[in-house]
Amino acid sequence: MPRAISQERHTMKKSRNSAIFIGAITIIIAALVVVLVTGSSKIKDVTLVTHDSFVMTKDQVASFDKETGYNLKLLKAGDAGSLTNRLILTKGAPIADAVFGIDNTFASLATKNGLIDGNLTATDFGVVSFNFDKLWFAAHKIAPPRSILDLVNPKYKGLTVLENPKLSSTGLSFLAATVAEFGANSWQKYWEDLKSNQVKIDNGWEAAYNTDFSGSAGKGKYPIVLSYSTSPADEVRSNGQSQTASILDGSFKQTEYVGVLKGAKNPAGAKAVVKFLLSPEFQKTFPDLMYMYPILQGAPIPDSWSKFADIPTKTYGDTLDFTNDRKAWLDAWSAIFA
Amino acid sequence: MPGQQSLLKQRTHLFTWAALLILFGALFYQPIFRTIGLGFHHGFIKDLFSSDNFQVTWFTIWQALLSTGLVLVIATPIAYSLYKIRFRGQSLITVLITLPFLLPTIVVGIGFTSLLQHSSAITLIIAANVFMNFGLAARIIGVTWQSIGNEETDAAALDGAGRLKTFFHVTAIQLRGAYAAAGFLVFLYCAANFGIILVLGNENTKSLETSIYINAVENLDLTKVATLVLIQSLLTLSLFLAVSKFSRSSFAPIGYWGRNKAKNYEVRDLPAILFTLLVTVGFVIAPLFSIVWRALHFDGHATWSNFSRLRSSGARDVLSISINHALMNSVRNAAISLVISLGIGLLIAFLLLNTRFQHLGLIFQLPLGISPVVLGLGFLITFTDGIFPLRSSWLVTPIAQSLVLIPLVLQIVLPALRGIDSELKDSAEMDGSDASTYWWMIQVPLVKKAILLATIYIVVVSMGEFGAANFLSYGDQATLPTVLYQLISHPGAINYGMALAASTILIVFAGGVLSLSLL
Repeated sequence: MPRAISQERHTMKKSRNSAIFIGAITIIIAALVVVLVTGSSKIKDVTLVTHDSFVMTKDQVASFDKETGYNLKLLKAGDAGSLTNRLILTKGAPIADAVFGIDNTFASLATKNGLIDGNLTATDFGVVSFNFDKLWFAAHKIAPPRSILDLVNPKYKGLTVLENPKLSSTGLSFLAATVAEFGANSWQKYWEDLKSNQVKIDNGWEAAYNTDFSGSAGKGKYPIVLSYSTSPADEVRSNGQSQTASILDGSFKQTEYVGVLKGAKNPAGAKAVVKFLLSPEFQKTFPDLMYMYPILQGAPIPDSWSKFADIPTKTYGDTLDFTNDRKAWLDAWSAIFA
Repeated sequence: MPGQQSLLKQRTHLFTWAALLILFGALFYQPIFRTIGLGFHHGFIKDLFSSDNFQVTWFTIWQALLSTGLVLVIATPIAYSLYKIRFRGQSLITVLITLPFLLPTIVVGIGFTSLLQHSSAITLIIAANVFMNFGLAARIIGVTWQSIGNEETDAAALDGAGRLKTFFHVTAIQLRGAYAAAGFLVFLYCAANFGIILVLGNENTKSLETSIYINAVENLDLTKVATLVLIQSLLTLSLFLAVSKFSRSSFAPIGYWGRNKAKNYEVRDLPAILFTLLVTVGFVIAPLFSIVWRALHFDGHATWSNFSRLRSSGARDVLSISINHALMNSVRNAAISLVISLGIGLLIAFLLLNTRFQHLGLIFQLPLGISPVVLGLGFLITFTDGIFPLRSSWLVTPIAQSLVLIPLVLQIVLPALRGIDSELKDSAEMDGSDASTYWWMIQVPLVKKAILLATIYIVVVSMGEFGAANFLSYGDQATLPTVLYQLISHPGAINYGMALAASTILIVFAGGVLSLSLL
């Protein structure tokens, strides 16, 4: 190769060499700029983060957008616990503008961590209680249980299935109810008795209710299950009677809230979401879509609920300090069931 | 003039090194140290040595050890039949046993969940570990086995030693390096098998990674998380350093198809061949076929309905977006990860070949020894607020993934580059070509295969990545693995059917990408 041409190519390559490095650096910097720019979103967008059980129909979303001029985006973030914890982990730059689905078992944690701008507003409630299979007890000629104290009676040995309080909010609700019912020093004894009476512990509500409970679709082996006071309304048979009924004590009232997140990019939009969730138009969908009672007085509830879903007279839930005590309860519970 | 030019070159290199070090320092080392720093107050030591931490550490180690042992035992006859003898269909079997290694852990977990009714969680976790890794081990051992001659074993046979005796007294010793390399690599993968344990495990089978996740997202116990992150990182980093010590590149065998001076099989080889066939059919084809088969059925009937539901977001709209949307997100993330990690990875490789400071390489290699779960959590904690709110950008997941993929590129490409005959460089320098001409004209073309292999790994790993994405990708940015996990966390035939259909897509995808390596 003639020297001169080689030298020229040499120099060309040299400048290409530098060009590549400068190009690479430029790409890195450009990427960082893009990141900063895309971090912000359009002001018309408003994001509502919810737990996984939240349902809002497309029609309702459209109607919200039309009424308010905002563009509503829904984001699901696990069960109520994961939802709250994720919001705490990201609280400097919240992942949404408003939150629905923090319940009274997590509300104090949310407040303590300063997640909410203003207050949490109650939207709906449900009652966690035991259901029993009326047909099973009739067929076995055993009187059905009347109280959670019956569950530790040897007559009902091996008949009850309930959810693990470490993994299920339904299970945690009942654990909290026993703390309130029996007191901070005696509730452990009740659970030891439950254990000796051979209760089955499932991971979640689905497994307990849909698989192991004898009174529902799974036709399982256990005629007593921890579920909701409204569940009997979904077990009405062709004779017009519900196959199941609730035990009316030891119940826990679960209340769910909506709130504006502190640091929201669109606080005005978030307030509009809160208002919409409390409107009669949305409140009336709670029973059918989420199996919860609307908080709004006078909002319609299904006929089957008034007929078959007895609301327990005495419920717990208001006075318990979940933030401080949850870990101690669960540790003590684990020690019993380990 | 030349002196001035080389000064300019030096300056450019120095500037690029500095930029890369700052980049890795800010994006990789900062989040890891911040996460561990969360625990630094009173109670750290007590938490670090708590019985619970001891328990999960011990579980992580023994399930990985047991799996590794099983993998090495199963891989041995397979390595023999695929690399020491010759019979029809070998290449196909080699491809098939590689496939499980390229599947996302979450898909493997889902494949094994249907057996939960019959087996305990721990049995299935071990089975899933073995399923994913035995093919990799067989190939690492086989490639070395093939390269050693038969003189010593023949001599031993002449002395009247039986086959097993010959294996344990001669071959096993010749292969100890390969066994160590395969063993440490499989151990590393089994100690960081987040998706498998999260899906198949229960209260009694918690690994370090799943405990990190649960304590961060469900219990919000960040002191405990920090201690677990420290233990997990020390464990995987030391395994990673052990892997690096025992093999120049443990990933190369996957791209190695070199054939084959082996002799035709004899009658006494039949047990090994039969074993290989049995494992391939029973342990690879059957489970994968079962996922595809069940994906094509709903309610007992053959139907496409699971696939057509991928347009929806699950029963009761349990997902924020449709599966198809999540698939597109995953493809997009993989494409961006590919550009970033191949670009920066090759840049670092070039710089490393032209510097005296080889130890700099370690700084960019270490991320491969860190669990993506740790990195994802670190990103969440570090980049949520402050001057650099990276987390709220959709680029966060591909960037986090790239940090783990860049070292992978180095692992695959550097050994190949260093393997190039140095005489080539000398003669190129005689011709007057400089480092970058030599790089583009000689080095890059010669390692095309390694670059293709790196591309395959990047795309497959990025599509299936779950540990980091589970912290960083949600809402309309969810990826296919993260929506898969959401689907199977919500029981019901519809969600499960959709999870199977999406898994089928990922299996077909991995198979398609793998077939590229045959090119």
